[in-house]
Amino acid sequence: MKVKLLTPEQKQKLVGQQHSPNSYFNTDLVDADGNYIMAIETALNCTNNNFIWVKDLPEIEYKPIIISNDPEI
Amino acid sequence: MEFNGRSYYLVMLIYLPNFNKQACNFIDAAALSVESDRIILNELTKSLIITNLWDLAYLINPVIGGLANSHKYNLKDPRDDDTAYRLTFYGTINHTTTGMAGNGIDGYYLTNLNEDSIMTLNDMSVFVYLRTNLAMNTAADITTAAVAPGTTVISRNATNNFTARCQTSTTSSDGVSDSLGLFGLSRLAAANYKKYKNTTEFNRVATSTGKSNSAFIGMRASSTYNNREQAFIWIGKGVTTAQQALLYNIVQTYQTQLGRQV
Repeated sequence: MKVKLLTPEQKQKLVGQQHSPNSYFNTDLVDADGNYIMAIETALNCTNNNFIWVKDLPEIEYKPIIISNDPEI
Repeated sequence: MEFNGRSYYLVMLIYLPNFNKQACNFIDAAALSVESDRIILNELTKSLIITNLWDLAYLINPVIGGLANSHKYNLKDPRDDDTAYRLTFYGTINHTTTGMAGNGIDGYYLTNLNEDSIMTLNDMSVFVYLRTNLAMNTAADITTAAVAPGTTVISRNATNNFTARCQTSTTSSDGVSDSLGLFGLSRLAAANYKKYKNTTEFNRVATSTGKSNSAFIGMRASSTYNNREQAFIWIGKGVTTAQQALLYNIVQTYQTQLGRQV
């Protein structure tokens, strides 16, 4: 599975911003390597003209952080 | 939403006296366009009021209408405002007429309801109706935050346990075979709380040690994002076993009327 890759600067620009009506970017998401990432569908479904550039972000393999047991959520 | 130049609220009050005022407010805010949805939503509202469950709730989200704009509203207070505990969506949540589900990568929601400031120690309940049978670790269906003590419901983890805690740091686990139906918990005493899967009750001895003070309640994640579909959310004061059974029956009837029961 692939995800979009963000630089720290790009991630910062998305904090508190909507990608479509009633929906905000999740700017807290990092992968197992510490990269800021975004789901491809979130990027492709972005309708906010100020952030259409997220559609053109590079894609990398999704490497989620794995926790073997339930944490203290 | 307008109908012949008038809001549905006014139209219903004038022409449909059996429609409840609170239901009309929600229908207006959520712009429910399907007639059967409006009738079913009205029945849900009346059932909750007649049984006095209504007065126990801070948030009742009926997850109806199939759109983010209709799924965000709190039936108890359908103002388009965070102080009304409307949902705020992050990442990708897929909204359909059967409910709403995260994409498993970056989607989640917050209720804008803070347990610490709104809820009372030893008097709280949280329920969520799930339509996806899926085992997964670390993905809470509804939770306060990553900082204990707090409240968390994970319907079915990777080892087929319904794990939860309620105003405590101690997590309890009980075996389940699926993650379908109304999952939740209620605390009415300092010494124990009760977990529920539909009408199955698990009494758990765990002394309350405090409330979460860090964040809003929501479908949150520490590392894994939840993608079980949700079709009803309740956050309220504590409920008794009898009240939980009433709530389950009302919610299951509601889901059946919408043709999305599990």
